[in-house]
Amino acid sequence: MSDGMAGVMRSVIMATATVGVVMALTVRPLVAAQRGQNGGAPRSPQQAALVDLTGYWVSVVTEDWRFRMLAAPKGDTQGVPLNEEGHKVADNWDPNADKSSGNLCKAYGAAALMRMPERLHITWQDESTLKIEADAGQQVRLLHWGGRAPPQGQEPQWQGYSVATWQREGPRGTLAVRTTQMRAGYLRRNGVPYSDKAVLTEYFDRYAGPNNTQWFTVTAIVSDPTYLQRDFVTTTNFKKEPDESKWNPTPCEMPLMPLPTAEHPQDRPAIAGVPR
Amino acid sequence: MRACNNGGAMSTSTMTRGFVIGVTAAWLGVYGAKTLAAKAQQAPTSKPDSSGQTTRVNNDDLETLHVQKDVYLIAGAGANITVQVGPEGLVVVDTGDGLKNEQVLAAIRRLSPVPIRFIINTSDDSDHTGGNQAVAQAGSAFRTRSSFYDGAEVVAHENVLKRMSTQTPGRPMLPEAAWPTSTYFVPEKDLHHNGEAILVLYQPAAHTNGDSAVYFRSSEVLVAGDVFDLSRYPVVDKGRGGTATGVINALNRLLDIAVAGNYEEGGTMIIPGHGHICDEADLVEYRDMATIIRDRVQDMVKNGRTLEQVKEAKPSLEYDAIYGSPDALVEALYRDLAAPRPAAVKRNTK
Amino acid sequence: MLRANGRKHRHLLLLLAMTLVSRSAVAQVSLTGDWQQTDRTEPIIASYYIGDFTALPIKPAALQGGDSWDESRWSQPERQCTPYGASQVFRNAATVRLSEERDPLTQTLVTINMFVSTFAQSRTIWMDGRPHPSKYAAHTWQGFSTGKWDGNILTVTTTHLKQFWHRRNGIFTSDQTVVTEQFIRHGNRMTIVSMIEDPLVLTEPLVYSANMVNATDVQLGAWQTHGNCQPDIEIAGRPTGYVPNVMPDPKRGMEFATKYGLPFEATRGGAETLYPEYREKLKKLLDASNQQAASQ
Repeated sequence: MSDGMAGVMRSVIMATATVGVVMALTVRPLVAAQRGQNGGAPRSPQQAALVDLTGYWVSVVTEDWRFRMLAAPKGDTQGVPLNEEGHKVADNWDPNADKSSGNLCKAYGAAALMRMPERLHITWQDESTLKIEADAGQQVRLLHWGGRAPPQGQEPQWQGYSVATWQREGPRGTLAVRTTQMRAGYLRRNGVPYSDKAVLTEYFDRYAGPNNTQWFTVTAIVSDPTYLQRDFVTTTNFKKEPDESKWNPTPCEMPLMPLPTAEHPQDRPAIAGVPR
Repeated sequence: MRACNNGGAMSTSTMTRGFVIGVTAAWLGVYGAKTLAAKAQQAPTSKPDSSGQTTRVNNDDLETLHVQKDVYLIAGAGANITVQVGPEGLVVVDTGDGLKNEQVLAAIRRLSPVPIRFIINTSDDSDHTGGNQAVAQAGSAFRTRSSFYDGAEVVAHENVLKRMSTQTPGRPMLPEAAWPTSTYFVPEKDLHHNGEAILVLYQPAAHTNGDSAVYFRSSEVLVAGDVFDLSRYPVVDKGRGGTATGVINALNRLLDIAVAGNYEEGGTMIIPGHGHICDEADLVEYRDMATIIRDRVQDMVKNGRTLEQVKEAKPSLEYDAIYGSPDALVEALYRDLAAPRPAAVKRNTK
Repeated sequence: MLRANGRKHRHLLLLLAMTLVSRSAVAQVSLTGDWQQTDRTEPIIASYYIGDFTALPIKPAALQGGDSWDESRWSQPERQCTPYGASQVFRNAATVRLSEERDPLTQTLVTINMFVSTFAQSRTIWMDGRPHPSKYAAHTWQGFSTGKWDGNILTVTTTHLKQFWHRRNGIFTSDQTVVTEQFIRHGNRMTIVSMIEDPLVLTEPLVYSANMVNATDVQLGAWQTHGNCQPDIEIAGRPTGYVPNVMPDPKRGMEFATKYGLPFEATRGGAETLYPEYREKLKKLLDASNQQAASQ
């Protein structure tokens, strides 16, 4: 072999060795992320969390204020892409009927719960189940890892059944959740409906805000072939709270109704002794 | 030590050396890239910002910014200082408060070594004229005068010279070398310098009765003086002939001259007496603010309110967080608007 | 020759190593492409009622601007062509195009460029770590933006914004506003969260979010909204310098409150109205209004 060829061979050998070293140094952390610290069993979803959502959070209602802080007048469905059937249901909403039939929690289902003015307490119920408690309506959502199918024969629930995954993007990532098997409920407090066929897809992203605050935003996509012409997308912002001092669980309740308007003169709750 | 023998077989020392070099190179690659990225995050670049302006931060807290075409701003020495640069020599509008003359002159020199030909004062405020003497003496006018007038020509309204050359209580008289050498008393004085028309426009009875605005026509830069001051409400100096109505008229006159670029941005750039470089949209907000407060005071005057009642009504409430105490402006407006108007002159119709 | 070969080897190794590791300095997510806004419920910024200050964490003093607002202000020639500033551009951004500019040699990301169809606004997001300009630099509608990636989230900080509007019914911003945005992509969807700090007007940051979907068939016409705005005198006979405004009157907001059945006090905004505990107060206000109406 000539000197020139030998030189080339040396280059190749040294380059290969270098590549091997570099690859080992960069690949190892990625592999470790999928394995336990001792390099043995895979890490649990809690251990592998890409985003820390635990703690107390408060919704900051700077958007859709009059749809969220109280019920908008009946039939006011602005911004929700309802189809004809959906409009029919919304136009016939009767909150008293919901009360008398024990369905006050219809507005607190998974497809709308995160839009409520509320506080959340997020914890790990176990290593593969994230628990989201909302003080509004005293609701609990359980997000399950592992792609587990919902239990057989389970009736639809207000919070449905949620399957969660971590979606990695670089060193951080997103919590992605898909919820099905929800009981029919309301996208808005004034009876804008979603059916039991609805599917809820959510992405939870956490970031730092001004003045050393921490926030997360949940982007929610509701697909409902029964009542919606197309997906209904909302984003809701939550700010981290230092502790539970403002945690205030309240049961599902009648919506705050707006004052009577020219279009909806009857939209007020009954006042004793006062005819509508 | 030979690295190659017997037709290509490597010696151990060569392999070791090669491997060490390879590993070192790999690590250097890792940390080198990261360090470069980190340094890029810290060190400013030389590219202009999105407005196309480059800023040179001097070592003396003065900042020099390119405004547009031949015109520059030197900020941080009292009022804003504007400089037109060109082969015929420099035009300097206002000279600062005089406390950083050396630094101001150094900043001017960094812009161009050509002589300072003109100083134009927008008023006789001390933070606008404090550097007159130093800057004038550092320059040279085109024509030779008596020894008293060596240096750059200082242009201002004649009321500026009157005040500068008169001893007034509580105000030290500036040395003669700081006084204007070329005054005007008509609505407009025109110059032509460095290939561009420079209009010196009288703003009567505004901030004072000696206010000028300066318009560099080709560069499309309008120097407003203290009728436009981002740091506070318009200051109306009654003792020096200023009126609130005159200030508002002056702002409207500036808006008549300014022409905005596309989507109300850019076009004529406007340098306020204090604050950042502006354009027409910024000036509109300031004019609107002054006019709205004027309208409210006028309404209350019409309804017979006293000055105290007007102040209590807080006619500037939504602006106070931005511009500070409104009392002086409200008093000036009240003075203007509550003053009895002269009786109409009867015309002889025969 | 051996010495020359040794230098070549070292160069080769260094180049190889840097090629392998340089990936870590490049963003993992790309926002490049055309994006269209999905349905929204909030009114576009231009269509708020007089007196609708709901959901604004404004200082009480700022209300006077709204209480004296005259919609005719937009007829001023100097305002007719005012676009949406960066703090509000996504409140009505029909279509957005994002592209990247990279250093031709190193492929390091230098800028992310944004073009918004509404009023044809362009914004450059500097990704190279440069500082923001001098406080004396001119302010623009889109300001000066710098950005950095944190995983899948692009955080953009914008300063040097012109005085604009928190809401175009009289609640203005100061020119000291700072906007922090989070651009978050999930597949073909993008969420943009804008946090607006304006301590001269707001008591806490104002947070908005916008939802966009990746679009592949944006027609040319969609890029040409308000493409050529020429101001003109719309209302003849006004004196020079006329500024439309009315004497401050909070009661002008009653029309909005009445239309939507809201207690008037609740329409006046303020940070307390943004939080869940405000519902207790809202309930009392509603009850009081109802009782008052019933007794009349």
